[in-house]
Amino acid sequence: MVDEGVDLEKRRFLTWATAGVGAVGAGFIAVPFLGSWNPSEKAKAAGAPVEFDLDKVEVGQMVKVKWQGKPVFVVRRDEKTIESLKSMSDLKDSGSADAGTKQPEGLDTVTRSLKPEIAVIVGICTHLGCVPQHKKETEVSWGGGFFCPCHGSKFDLAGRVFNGSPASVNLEVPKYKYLADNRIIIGVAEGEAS
Amino acid sequence: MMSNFMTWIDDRFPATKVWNEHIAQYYAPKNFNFWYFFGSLAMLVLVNQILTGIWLTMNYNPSAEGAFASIEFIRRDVEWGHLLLGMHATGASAFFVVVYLHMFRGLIYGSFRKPRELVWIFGMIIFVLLMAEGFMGYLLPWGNMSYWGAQVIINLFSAVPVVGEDLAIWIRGDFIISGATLNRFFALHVVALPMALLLMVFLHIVALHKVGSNNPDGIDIKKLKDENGIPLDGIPFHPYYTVKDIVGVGVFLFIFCWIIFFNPEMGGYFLEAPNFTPADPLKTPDHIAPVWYFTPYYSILKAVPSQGLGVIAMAASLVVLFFLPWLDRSKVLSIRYKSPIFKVALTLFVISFFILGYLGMKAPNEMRTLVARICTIYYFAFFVLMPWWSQWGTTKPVPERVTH
Amino acid sequence: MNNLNNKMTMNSLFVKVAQFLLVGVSASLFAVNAFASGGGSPIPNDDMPQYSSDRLIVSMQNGMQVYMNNCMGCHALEFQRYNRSAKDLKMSEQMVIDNLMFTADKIGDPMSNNMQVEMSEKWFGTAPPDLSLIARSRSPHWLYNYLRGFYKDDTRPYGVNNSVFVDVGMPHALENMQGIQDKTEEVKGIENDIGYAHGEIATAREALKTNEGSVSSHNEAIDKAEHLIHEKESELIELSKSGDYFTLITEGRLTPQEFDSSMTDLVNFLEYVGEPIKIERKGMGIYVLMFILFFTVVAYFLKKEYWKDVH
Repeated sequence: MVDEGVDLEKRRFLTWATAGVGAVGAGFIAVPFLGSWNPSEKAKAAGAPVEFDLDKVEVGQMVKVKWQGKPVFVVRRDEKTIESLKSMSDLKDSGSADAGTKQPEGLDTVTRSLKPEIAVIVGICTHLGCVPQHKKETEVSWGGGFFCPCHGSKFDLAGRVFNGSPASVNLEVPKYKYLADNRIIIGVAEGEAS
Repeated sequence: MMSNFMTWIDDRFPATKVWNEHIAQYYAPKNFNFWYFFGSLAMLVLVNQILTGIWLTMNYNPSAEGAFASIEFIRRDVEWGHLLLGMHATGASAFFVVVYLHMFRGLIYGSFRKPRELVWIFGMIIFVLLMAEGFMGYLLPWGNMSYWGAQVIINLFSAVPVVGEDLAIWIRGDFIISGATLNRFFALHVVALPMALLLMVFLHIVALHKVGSNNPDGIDIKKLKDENGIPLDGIPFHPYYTVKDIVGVGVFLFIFCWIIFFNPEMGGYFLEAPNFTPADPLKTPDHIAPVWYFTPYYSILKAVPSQGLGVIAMAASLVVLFFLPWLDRSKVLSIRYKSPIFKVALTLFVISFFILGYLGMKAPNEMRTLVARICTIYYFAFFVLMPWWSQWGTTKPVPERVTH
Repeated sequence: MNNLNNKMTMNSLFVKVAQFLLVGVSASLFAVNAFASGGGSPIPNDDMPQYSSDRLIVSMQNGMQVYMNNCMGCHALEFQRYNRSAKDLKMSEQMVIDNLMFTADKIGDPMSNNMQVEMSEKWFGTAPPDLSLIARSRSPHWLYNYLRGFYKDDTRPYGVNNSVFVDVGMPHALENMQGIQDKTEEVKGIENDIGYAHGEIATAREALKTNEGSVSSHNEAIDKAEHLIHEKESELIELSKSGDYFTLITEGRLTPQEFDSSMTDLVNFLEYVGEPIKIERKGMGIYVLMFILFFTVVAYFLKKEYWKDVH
């Protein structure tokens, strides 16, 4: 029943045209299926920035603040500690120059914070993700900071990783800003509206 | 290179053989009309239900405490969740529209007659499974109509003599509809019944392909073949019907999307208002009615004065359809060549089916019950007496070759 | 042969279009309001004015303000987040925080309140329901008339009743806006007549049961009374339509027209909360339908080309 004079060119063209439009359509249909895997409004709301009152932190003390389901260490450092940070030795990356380091732009490379007396550091070891323990200078011989019990990584009180640690990169500093002298919001960068 | 690849595959798997036998060299009658779109459309809707259904289970919470809220969560908080939900809910109603039209085609062209009895029976099994699937799916949103609709229907089982009460409790897993019922309906709706449906659809198509498709004239195209053994009135399914079905898909999707994007509630018939209130065991909606696609059978149930007999009548109205291949004793298959008596009888059947459907949505009163009874009697008479009346009148001569 | 083919195609095309229209017509026939209602027409039964685009957004913003000030205390909107309202109603998050949030909730939180279920059941007889979906379960039309149907009734615990939702447990939360209305003397008179007629029917039915007096005269009395009731109920509907059903006995902050407008705003807000995506999905739908139409046309040409082979 297929006669002579079949316009093969036309058939090829129309077949490709239909297939093409169909492929575009398939792409459109994929959008809701793929998009629904993105974080829901509930997840986004739970990941919202968290405000924190610094009056709660005494000198030398570390308080854990939950943000986006993660622990964030807030530590109040005294003058002596801040000074010692400048000359801390045995660090893999004392200037936080490593490309893998996560911290907001423009921070002091030594104190790694907006104001030197308050450290805000994400408490997740950059090796394999355990939560390190806070060690005061008086408790340990290596100057104090954070010790990860899982594989022995050590970080100073600015979150910088020590030599000999399995972790290779400094602890992450989240974006945060000061709302007042004694109040910070974690999850919003300096210059961003809160 | 492609042909080398296909050779490698064909040496290990009958890919080309199956493609040829069932698609590229499956010879279907060339006179398929509007009524022949609905099989492929039913498959399309099945795929839609499965894909959107899987995606919904990613965020749905199948507990009595969390189900209702999880539906609103999907609607509002999950990106594109509202669309996936709309496709699934509208798809359920679309499934029944398509399947009813598909069955109607079988009815008018005699597609259930020998040698296609199994095709019809497998199809009827699919239909019953589909009704169960729809019924269970409707409980999942855990709205007030979900709850009370399920309550009424499961209570019907208590009408079974002797074991009724225990049977109803066993189905529910509890003394009233509760989380236990919801959980098991979830498992059946998401896993068990879809698998059963897929199996039956596969068998349905295998049975069809064994004997070949019927056509609007009800004649056997395999009677007249050319020198190559190809039916004179047959054309290969691919490319002719693949290409035609794509147009059918386009038209269907246009209507389908019109509903999803502009009128998903369809006046309260697709999405029922009481279902926007959470299930409340203490408060029945003003008016319980099943979703529109069950209303004809619900009407039959209500028409019969006794509850026990009503349940039996409702079941019988489905069972009688299984016997259709043996009920129609007319000399010809297709309505085109049957006597005018058949046409009148069928028209009355369609009208009474619609009336039953309409009445199933309404609260009963004297007049409505009377009409429902008349239509129910007609429904059963149409089938049960068919062996006799299908032989009345004169049939028209059936052509040798198909017409349009 | 060709002509015949063309005629066949035209015929089948016509059939297809007719069938399409049929589906469309029957679909619109089904677009009858399927909400269950009791017997008779509710009072009031007024239609809300319909707004679109910007006018509608402003109306919903006003509605949200009315809601937060008057309703949120008792009725939560658990499924709706503040930031969603801000985004959809075109308000900045800061504006919402400053003007429309009265709790310590964050902008991403759901709009819940602290109403405790047990206490509220004690106060109102039933816990004030969450209203996230009220516009979908009751309909905006119902809500609009419900909100305007409160009237003085000293027999009720809070001194008010509602002509749309009889014996409702809710006090008149919007009293300071609307004031208090009461049924007019004419309405009260008609209702008296209706009550009397019901009494006559009851008496006649009793008498029929106990076989006192003539059956025909009792039936006549029942007929007459039923006719009267029907007539009087129509009168009430007419009065409601002409705005003469209620009369204001205590004035509120707003005039009746201002109150109606405010209620339109409130209902528009609740309709939005019932399905926040509604406006957006209609916009999306146009593009979807246009694409499908385009695809179908292209596919149709493909089909026609191949089907030249057949006959």
